[in-house]
Amino acid sequence: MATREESSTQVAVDDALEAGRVTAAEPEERELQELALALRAESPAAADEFARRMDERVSAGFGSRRTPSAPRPAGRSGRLRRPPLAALAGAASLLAAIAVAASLYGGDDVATTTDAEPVPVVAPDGTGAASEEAGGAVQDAAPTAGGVAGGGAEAEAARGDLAPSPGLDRRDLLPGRESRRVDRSAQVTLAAPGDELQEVGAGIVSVAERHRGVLTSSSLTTGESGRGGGSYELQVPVDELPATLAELSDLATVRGLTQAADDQTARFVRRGDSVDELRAELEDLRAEAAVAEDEDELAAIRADIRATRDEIRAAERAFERVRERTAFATIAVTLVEGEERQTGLGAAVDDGVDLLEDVLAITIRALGVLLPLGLLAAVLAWMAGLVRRRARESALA
Amino acid sequence: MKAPFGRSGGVSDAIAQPAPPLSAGTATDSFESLYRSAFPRVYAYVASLVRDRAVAEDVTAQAFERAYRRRRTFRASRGTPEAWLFRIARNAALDELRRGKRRAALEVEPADESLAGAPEEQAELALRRATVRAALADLTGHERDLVALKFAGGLSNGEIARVLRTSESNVGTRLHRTIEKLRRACHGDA
Repeated sequence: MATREESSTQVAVDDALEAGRVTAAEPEERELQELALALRAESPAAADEFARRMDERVSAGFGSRRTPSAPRPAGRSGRLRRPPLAALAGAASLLAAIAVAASLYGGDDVATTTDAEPVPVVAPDGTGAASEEAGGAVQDAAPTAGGVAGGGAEAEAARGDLAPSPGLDRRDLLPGRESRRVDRSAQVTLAAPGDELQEVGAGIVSVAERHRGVLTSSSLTTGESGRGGGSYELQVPVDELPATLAELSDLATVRGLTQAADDQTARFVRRGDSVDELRAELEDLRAEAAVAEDEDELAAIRADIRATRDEIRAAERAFERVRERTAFATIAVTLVEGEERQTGLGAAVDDGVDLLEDVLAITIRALGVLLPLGLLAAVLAWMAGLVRRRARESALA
Repeated sequence: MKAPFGRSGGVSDAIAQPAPPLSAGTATDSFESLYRSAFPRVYAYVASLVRDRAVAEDVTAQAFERAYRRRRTFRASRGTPEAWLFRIARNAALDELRRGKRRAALEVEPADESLAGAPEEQAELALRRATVRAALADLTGHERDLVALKFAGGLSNGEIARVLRTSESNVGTRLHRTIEKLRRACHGDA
């Protein structure tokens, strides 16, 4: 705050400068005003020639070859312009924001897939190990948020080629694709709202019946606990498998779909050959019995015949098991409780809210990075300005 | 093309012409008006600082050109156009001083009209001028800068505060002390 003396000095000086002469009556103020006028009189005046040149330059816009809004050249007077600190800080902040956004989208927090349990992939050789070599024989439908649409896509995949893996040992196979015997299976995870679980369960049974299949086991739990669900095991003719999977996928949201194929052709052929050999052996034994020379020999041959018949029955059962296994496909259906993806305005509003929440989450995280960076940049800019100013002022020291 | 405009007669005349706001009319016209009103005072201020005619001319030209290029960056909320212009001129002058460390004796002579009058008056004026110059020579760089802004630049205390990035009261206090220092030097007071 100015003191009274400072104020009177200022008033006296300003009055004299404004009037261009001494105006005060007080001797001390007159003295100040005389000094002020003398100081102004010491002000150098520009030479006429320089003033004329300046008039011309200003009138010509300093010979500007560009408008002020045009982009600046990279350098002036041979000196490169220093990149503004704020621009550098901005670029760094932008990179940080991109990195944060990328990490967020790449992380678990904003994953768009559903939280369906991963369904184990059964390898064609029955070891349970998933393999790239399985090729088209094993189709692992990864959990997606596709909902009804995703389920339809996976159903389409289910209708695809389920041929045996080319990686299998085919040396013992019979030629011709039509003679192949393939053990096929599928695991499907369906999600439906709690109040629709029973309806979906009934739908699974109906689908099995429509495709000449059988329901080998089933269980269903419903209630208000929010943990409802069930499991079903179906067996349908192999040629009905794609259509059955397609209809199952229409019942509810498909959370997961895994198909496996195990080529049993070699085993099937071996079992058949074994039966044929045993039958031929039985015929030989019968022929030997017809020409037996005594009772002892006949009794021994009859014992062999009984043993061979037992072997034939065992071989036929084994053959039948392979035939049945390759004639029917096993479908394991897991039914879980979950929100089915809705369509329409309500779903759009829900999606919009979810999107806004995601954007807000990203923004908050980005601000967590950008704010400190911005603050740091501001402090650096302020310090740089201070240093520059001090350096400039040093010329007056 | 516009004809070159007439220049002001000197610092006193220029101070009487208030600078129009830079935002009025087109930017170019506003700048020409600013130049017309401020050129003599900017030169006087720069010359008072650098104390070399050639350097003062270079720095003044550089300051106006810089201001012209940056005229669209002027913001009225940050002060008057004159304060903005003098700030540019001051930076240019200080940069020049820092680069060259020029401390040559002032070659620029004050206006001739101050020596008009009777021989006794001329002698008295010459004596007073010599006394004032001696007092000015004893000032520090910062004090000389302040005096130049006030008396050569013709700026108000508020405008000086904008140029120096300090408060108006601080400018008033420093100016009062500097004038007192000059007054004592001129009149031999203790």
